[in-house]
Amino acid sequence: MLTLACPSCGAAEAFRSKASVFAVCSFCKSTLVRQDMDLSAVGKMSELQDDMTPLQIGCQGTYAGKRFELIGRLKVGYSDGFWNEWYALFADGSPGWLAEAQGFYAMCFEVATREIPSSNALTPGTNVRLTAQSVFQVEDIRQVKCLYSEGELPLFATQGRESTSVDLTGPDNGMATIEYAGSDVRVFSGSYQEFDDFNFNNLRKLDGW
Amino acid sequence: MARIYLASGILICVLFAYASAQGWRIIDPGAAAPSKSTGPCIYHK
Amino acid sequence: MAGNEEVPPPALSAQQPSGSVKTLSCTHCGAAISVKYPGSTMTVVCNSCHSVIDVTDENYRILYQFSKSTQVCKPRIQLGTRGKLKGEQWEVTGYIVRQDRASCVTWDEYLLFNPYHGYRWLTENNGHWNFVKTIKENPAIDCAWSSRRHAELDGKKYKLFYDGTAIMLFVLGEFYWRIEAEQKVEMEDYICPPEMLSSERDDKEVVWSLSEYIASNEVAEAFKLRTDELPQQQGIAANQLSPWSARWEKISRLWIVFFALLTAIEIGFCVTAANKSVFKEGYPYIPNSKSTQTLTTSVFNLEKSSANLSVKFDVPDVSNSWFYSSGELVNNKTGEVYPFERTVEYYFGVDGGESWSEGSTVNQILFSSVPGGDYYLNLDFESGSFKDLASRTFFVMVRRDVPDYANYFWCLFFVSIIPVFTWIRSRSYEVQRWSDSDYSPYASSGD
Repeated sequence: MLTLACPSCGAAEAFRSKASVFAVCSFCKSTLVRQDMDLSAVGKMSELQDDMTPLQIGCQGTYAGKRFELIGRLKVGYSDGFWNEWYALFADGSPGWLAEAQGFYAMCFEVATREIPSSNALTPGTNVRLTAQSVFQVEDIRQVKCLYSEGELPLFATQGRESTSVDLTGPDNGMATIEYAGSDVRVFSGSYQEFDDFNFNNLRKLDGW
Repeated sequence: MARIYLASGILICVLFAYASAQGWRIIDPGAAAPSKSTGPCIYHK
Repeated sequence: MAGNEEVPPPALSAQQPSGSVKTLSCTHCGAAISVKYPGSTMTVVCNSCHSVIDVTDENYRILYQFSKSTQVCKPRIQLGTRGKLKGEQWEVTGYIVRQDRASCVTWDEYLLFNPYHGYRWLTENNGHWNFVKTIKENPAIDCAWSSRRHAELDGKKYKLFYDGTAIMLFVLGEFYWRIEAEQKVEMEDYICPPEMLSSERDDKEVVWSLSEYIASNEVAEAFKLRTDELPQQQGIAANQLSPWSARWEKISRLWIVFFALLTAIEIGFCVTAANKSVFKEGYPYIPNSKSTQTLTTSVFNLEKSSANLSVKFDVPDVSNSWFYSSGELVNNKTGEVYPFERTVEYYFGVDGGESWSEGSTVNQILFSSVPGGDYYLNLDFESGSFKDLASRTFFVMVRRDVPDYANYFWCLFFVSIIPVFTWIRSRSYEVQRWSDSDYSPYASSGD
């Protein structure tokens, strides 16, 4: 673990993952960009209306028998809603993304694929072979914007960051996401899991629930 | 309902086994019911 | 969004208390509207004028408004109330009345929210309730297999029950998506009671959901309502579990067991039946005699304390003529008598080029449960329609403990009464269920 001082307020910023290049200071909400041992403030993160998510940074859970902890969050919005992408660090140091929307939870991991069709070539219903084993079907294609971020993240999640997100579903509760951010295209695949099966602890306290 | 059926079915099977062992026809519309002979028979002897 | 400089002072930027209520005034009528879950709500409906407002819009744009003529529907479960269903606490946050465009059938939908588990729907149609969960997996649709379309999910087959266009008649509360004016969706319901798979298709997406039928008293209990506050149940719901189908399943399985058991017992008795000839004798008779002829057989012994007894008349010379005997089986010791009568007749001929025959040259009688002991037969006999008066011979054969099928068939009949009844009830339940559907497997074709 790497600890650096926030250039804005001096608070200690811990980087749990080596892959993290971005952080939001938990004290002053400065958005920080890390380059090796160098931390620079690039702006401030403005608060958003509470979305009643039961998750928070530091929350722990289990996926496929492995424990993970949430270390960063990216909230993205599109014209008709929003969802959260939680950056998860597994006990073995490997990263994952926990997508959370309207009570649905899916853990996914970045996968290397040979050829990714361009977002223009995709429409809902299109079948895409992302990995050798499985074919996924395009559910929706959305222009998304980063609304909010916190914790540490492996990407520059400043407010307003724009990307195109393609959601796909596969067999056996499988899911995949293709993210087109400029020339940067990344593919994630994983599966949905019931809330109770995550065995979360250190959940956020929700008044009245 | 299933329980009633189970009970009645077992009863029928038992009755069936018993009746067959006795050579007894449970339902016998053309039955020749035995009756005591009432003195000198209508038949000879 | 990108305003990085204008931020609240750092001291206030700590996590806001969850579930903070946001208040706004209606863009149309100015009435105060409170948004209970502002972070996850996109649409809110004004309680006073029923304007549908986009809360994510900075000017609180009115998405649309229900016209004044539209009747105001009252939710049976108050918005904001919480109830425990399927082990979780749910809050009613929205209420929608929808209508099938073709049939004008309406139903109510209540949007339920739980911050951990997300959203569920509670739907009410004719007093029948369903607990509905949106699913991410797309069921496989099979329309190739015969003309009956069905969907498959997790190895379960769901039969197409309904398809049509649904429109929104009325809406109240707050919703996590933007409700469009005149939003209409193409709906399909596939049933596998007590579950139902439904798809809702609009120009943007297809959403699948899985419904589970729940008893109305479960709903009443969860939201602390009296059962008479909920609408009266009418008819059979599409995915209501038939009480008869489960019974039929069990009973039909039991019937197979009983059938096998009875058959095994019957076979056992037929194989082990002694089928012993205890008496056989031929006697002369004079055909066409005016007076009754009589005879008494010699005494024969019957073994076993109880078994059946067959008395068979074999009159080989009966040919377009008849032989009649009335008699009695007499217990030599107790004098107990078993009266009987039998006719042996056999007719045949050719009629219009086709030969026919009727009757037989043998006839028999079976005595049930005859106690063992010494017996004899008294016989009276006469005959007629013979061509001459020459004396002929008839044979009397007595057999003890013969195979008999009467009990077997009667018991099979008795053991089948309840299954047949259950099947009829089960089927009529299904016929009634499907009577609301255009896809009834029970409907006569060409309908």
